Amino acid sequence: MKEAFIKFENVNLTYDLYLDKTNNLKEYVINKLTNRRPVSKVMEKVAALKNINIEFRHGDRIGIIGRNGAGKSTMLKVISGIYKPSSGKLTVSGNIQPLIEIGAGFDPEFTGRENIYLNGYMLGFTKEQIRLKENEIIEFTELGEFIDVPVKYYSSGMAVRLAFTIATSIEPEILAFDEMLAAGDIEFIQKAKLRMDSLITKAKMLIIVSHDLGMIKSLCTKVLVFHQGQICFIGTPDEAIEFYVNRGYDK
Amino acid sequence: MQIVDGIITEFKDAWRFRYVINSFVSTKLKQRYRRSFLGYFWTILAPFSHYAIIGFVMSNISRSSMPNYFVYMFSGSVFFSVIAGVINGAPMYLIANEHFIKKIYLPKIIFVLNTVALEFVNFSLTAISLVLLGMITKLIHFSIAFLYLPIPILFGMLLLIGLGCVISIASVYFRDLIHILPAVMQAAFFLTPILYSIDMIPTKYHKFILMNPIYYLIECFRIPIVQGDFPPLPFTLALIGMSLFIFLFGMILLKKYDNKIAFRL
Ligand SMILES: Nc1ncnc2c1ncn2[C@@H]1O[C@H](COP(=O)(O)OP(=O)(O)OP(=O)(O)O)[C@@H](O)[C@H]1O
Ligand SMILES: [Mg+2]
Repeated sequence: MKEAFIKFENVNLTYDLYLDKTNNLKEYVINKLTNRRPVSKVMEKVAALKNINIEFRHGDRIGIIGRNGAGKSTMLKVISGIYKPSSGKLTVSGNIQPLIEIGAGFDPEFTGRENIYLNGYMLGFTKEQIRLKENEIIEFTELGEFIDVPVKYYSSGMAVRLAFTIATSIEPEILAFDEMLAAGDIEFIQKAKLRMDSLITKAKMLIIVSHDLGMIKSLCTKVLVFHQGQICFIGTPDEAIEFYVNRGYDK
Repeated sequence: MQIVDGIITEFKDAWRFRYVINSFVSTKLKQRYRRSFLGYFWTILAPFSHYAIIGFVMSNISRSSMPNYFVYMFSGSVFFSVIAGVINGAPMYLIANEHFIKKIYLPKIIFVLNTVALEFVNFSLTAISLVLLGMITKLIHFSIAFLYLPIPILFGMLLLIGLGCVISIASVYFRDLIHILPAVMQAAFFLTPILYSIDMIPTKYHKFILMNPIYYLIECFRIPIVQGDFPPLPFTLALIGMSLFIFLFGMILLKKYDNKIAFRL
């Protein structure tokens, strides 16, 4: 059996933040012809991950916490291949579900059922595999007749139910989630937590990003605190949460 | 060689996600055809009716003496309309899929293949219906040269995949391309011999037409249908050469900008 393994070596990720709104050909040509440089600053670099060095091993249950804009989501996106590191080396072994954010693989024009298939394919399933899970998924979401209605007519909670159920119906080796359950109702969240538990016991590695410290505490064995693009604390959930709550990164 | 490797990896990756394309195309087709009773006929008529109307008017004004003018004009227009459809739609291939690109890992080529595949499935349905219709009305006669038709279609797809990559990437940087391209394509429609034939224009302008890849694509599609002949070899070679060149260019550009697109969207 392949071991799940992730290793960051001096990984940096810098976003190019384009401040100019003049991204059109007309102005580009005029600027070239008149030899004029655009007046405002065109681009700003945002260093979202700075020199990250860390290893996640088989069996790790990682939680990532930190303030808004600390770089948590970026970290997951780099792991799942959505963004390539600007520099440094990242090694990922073990299959990872490429969907880290709820509803990421949805086409709003497609019905719920069509989205089950589309999403399933995006996650690497074959048609037969999805067909086997289709009924279970529809049942778990309790969407009833809405399953054949385009997703754009769903309430955000309904979309979350469907997205969550699809995302958790695959059993990848590496499970990575960003802010899972923000819009579900209480009843669904409880149901979802049970489902998560069984999924998590099967996964070889778990990485979750959440502001729900209770959830982090109950699911993770190791927690990273992010601050301004760096990992500023690694420890047990209790230590890390205490560090985070007491704003240890300010000291 | 590194480039070739890159392209092969991109396609291997796309192959892994082939069912995504499959599901996209079949769902879109279902949506188009199911939504109305006339859906099927509508999809056949809508894309090129624009060009057909122009052609109809033109043929009456100019009283063309060309034999089989109607078939000539129709087969050219219908192929041009798929080309124009892809080119005019290409600016949105990446932009409209921002929510996928930023949230889930998918090879970018998927977004180009999705739409090119959809357009060509549609096109094939249209072309088959029209050829059948032409044969029933005795305007077209079956010929062994029909076997040649997959060549312009296949290389047309390659060319449009390449162009689709170039345009969709360029549009991420130049958002106004979407407004510029339809005018360009409208001009291209009149500059390509579709309503007229190349020998109806002065020889000194021929060299411009011979530089236009769309011309070869359309000729190679039209000759077998209209004349029942195989196109001359130089046409086939020009078609293959130009298509491969544009395809490779598009793929190289895609590789080069692959990691930058997500930031610029
Ligand atoms: N697509 C983008 N383009 C430019 N900058 C971005 C982009 N996405 C994120 N950033 C910037 O990168 C930094 C880290 O963002 P990230 O989304 O990783 O934060 P986060 O820790 O997930 O925050 P939150 O808790 O709010 O979800 C922020 O400063 C943000 O402004
Ligand atoms: Mg986030």
